[in-house]
Amino acid sequence: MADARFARRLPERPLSPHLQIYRFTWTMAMSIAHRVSGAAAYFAAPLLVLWLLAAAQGPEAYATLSGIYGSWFGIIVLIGVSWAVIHHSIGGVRHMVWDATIGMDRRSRTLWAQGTLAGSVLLTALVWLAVLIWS
Amino acid sequence: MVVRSRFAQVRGHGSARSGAAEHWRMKLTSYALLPLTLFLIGLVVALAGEEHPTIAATLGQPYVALPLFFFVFVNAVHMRLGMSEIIEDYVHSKLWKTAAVAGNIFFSYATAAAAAFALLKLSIGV
Repeated sequence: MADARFARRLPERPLSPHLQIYRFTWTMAMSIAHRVSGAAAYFAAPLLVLWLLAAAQGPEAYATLSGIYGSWFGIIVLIGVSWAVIHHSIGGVRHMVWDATIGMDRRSRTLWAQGTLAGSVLLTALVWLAVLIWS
Repeated sequence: MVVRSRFAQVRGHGSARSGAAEHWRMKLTSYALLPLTLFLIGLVVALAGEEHPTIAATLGQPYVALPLFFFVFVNAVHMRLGMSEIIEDYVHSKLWKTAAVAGNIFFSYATAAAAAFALLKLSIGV
């Protein structure tokens, strides 16, 4: 940021572009989503640890934890976490494919980015359908 | 005696610093995590809604506990590398950066250690 004292002396120059300047592209959106989902999974890691610890602790602790995880709030959080993990995993596969220099042309890379979102939503829905049927 | 300049000797041999190793470790952990994550999701779906005795007995099985062990430790390295990339991008003040980097390492390995402890307890059944 230019100092206020020099504001009158400096001509108007373009600032370096940031997010709001760029045209939306799918690869850009999925790049951001990959980082966000990774960070979400990072902060959700204690949920897995708590599950294991409660199971190790005993029936009472596990019942308490099941009550929290099985509440409507817990289920909403777990749906979000599962979506983040699945999205990040598919994003990883996408990067694996791109690392092999496959699907680098404009059409394929957009398809891969769109497929990451569609696939993650679909797989998350399937996982929760399986939970619903199983339990 | 070598007459070539020091720069000419190292040109084309890659970075002298740890960036490439970090990248390689990130790739390695992400490849390893793919099957392990599939296993974890399958396990959680299969165990959802079960009572404690079934859960504890299943998690204590070697063929369940071992993949979970792998998951927990590979995941800790992956978590640490991923979050440090985010910290390097967004945290610039020296103090906050140091704190964030340290906190990231503590968090990543503390969660892994806690999970490993739980898995050991479930496996040995103390």
